[in-house]
Amino acid sequence: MRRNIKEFNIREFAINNIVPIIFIVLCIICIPLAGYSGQYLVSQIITRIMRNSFLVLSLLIPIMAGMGLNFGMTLGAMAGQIGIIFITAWNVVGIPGLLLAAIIATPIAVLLGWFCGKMLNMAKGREMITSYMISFFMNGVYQLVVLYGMGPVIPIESDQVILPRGYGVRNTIDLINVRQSIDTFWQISIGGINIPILTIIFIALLCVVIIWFRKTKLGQDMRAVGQDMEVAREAGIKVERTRILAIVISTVFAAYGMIIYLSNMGTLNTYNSHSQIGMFSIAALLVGGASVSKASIKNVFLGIILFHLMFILTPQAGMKLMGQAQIGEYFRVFVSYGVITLALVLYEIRTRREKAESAKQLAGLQKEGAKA
Amino acid sequence: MSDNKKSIKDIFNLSFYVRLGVIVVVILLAVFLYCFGKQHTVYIDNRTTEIDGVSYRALDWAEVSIDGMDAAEYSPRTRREATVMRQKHTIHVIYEDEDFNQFEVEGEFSIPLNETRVVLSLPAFVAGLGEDKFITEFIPMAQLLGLSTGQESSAEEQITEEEMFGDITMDF
Repeated sequence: MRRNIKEFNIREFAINNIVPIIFIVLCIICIPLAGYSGQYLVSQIITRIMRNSFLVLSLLIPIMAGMGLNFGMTLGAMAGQIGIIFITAWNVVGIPGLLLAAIIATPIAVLLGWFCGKMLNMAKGREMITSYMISFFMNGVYQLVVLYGMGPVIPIESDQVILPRGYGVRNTIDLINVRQSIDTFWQISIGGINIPILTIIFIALLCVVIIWFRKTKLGQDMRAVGQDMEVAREAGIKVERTRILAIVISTVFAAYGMIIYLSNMGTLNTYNSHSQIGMFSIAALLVGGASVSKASIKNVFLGIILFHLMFILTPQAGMKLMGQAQIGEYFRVFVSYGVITLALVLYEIRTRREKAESAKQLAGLQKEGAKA
Repeated sequence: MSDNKKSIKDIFNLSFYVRLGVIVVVILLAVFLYCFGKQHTVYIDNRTTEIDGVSYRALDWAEVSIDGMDAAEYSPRTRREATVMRQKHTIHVIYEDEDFNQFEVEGEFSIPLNETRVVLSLPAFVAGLGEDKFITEFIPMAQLLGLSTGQESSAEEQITEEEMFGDITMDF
């Protein structure tokens, strides 16, 4: 009888999940070293899941469309920040303020996403490095707008936002008026841990939208484009348009994610907040076992839990081991970059191996054909 | 080829109007959120004031509540702030004159949309003056007197390259 279920191969499982396994081992080592209580860790993890899920979920759609890890999500983060700057200047507070920030951010994110998608279509096969460079380029444009445009060109008068010289936005903006508005709107306490229900509803909605989106015509088109662009083109799919849409959707979600992130943090570092968001979100996704070509919702949540456990534990573990919390800070930074590097290398090895295997199979078939 | 050209009918089809409708709804929603969510600070001021050459004396004692919020007591030369959202508000004032006779006044006022901070003069309000008289723009005293507002000291706030190009040790 033919067996449909593959036999469980420990080696293959370990190779495929090397990154989460490393993180689980590191967390197991660090938990007793850090000495935090279980309640504290759970509370911190919940806070960070609520804060970052939207951002990390925004990365799924470009992966589905075969465009790899969208470092260009930083563009969405910038759009979200612009929305937040405006509502702070206008003194629009609470959830209405955040909704208004989302409305302001949407067209900016669409425009930036469209630009990024256009660029990525010109650099097919090199999407990740291109999107990374685009994010640096757009960072410059963002700073030009925020540092010199806001005030004289874009009228903003608020002392809270504008530097005393009359133009440019302050380094740090206090978001006290919108701080944790979503989280505290409806929350319940279980065992001393606050569970923000409204934020969970937002995140769950996005998960449902992503699952639903995969089944739509556009979602199927994206999967087809992700598997093989030429075959998709032959099938009548508008490949370029589909890829642009994937990036636009991701950028818009990233903008909303950034608004949720900033409202949870309660402070906007105008020139900093967005800069590392892409890097950390991608690292979190990869830690969850995702790859450049495959990612799912479970990777998002597993990744956030493991990555943030490291964030929480390493400074304290470093403090206990070496007497310096800074060691832990450095550790988590190089781990972020290391995880991305490892995932990229593993992806490349796997792709080459698959190519070699398919070439081998083709050669075997040709040999058999020649014999016949 | 002329066949490839879209006719006006093709452009202004049902989906065009649906998209246009969605954009209009979103813009209206944004305007509503701006008006609904805008926070204003009202400085309720119980000081003797002069309006159009007429002097209105500070109330000897008053209890003021805005939009049904907790009431606060006012003696002469008192100023308290109330933080409110939206433009239209109700004010309920109970006050005493010098002979301890108690009066009650209730009224409505609206704050100009573009004003974040306004001053509400209690003596002018209880005297029955118009809204444009008892509500004025808040101007900090230092600015009125032409004194330093402390902004000069922070005018040197610089944005460094490190701040512009990211801090890798930031929290996430």
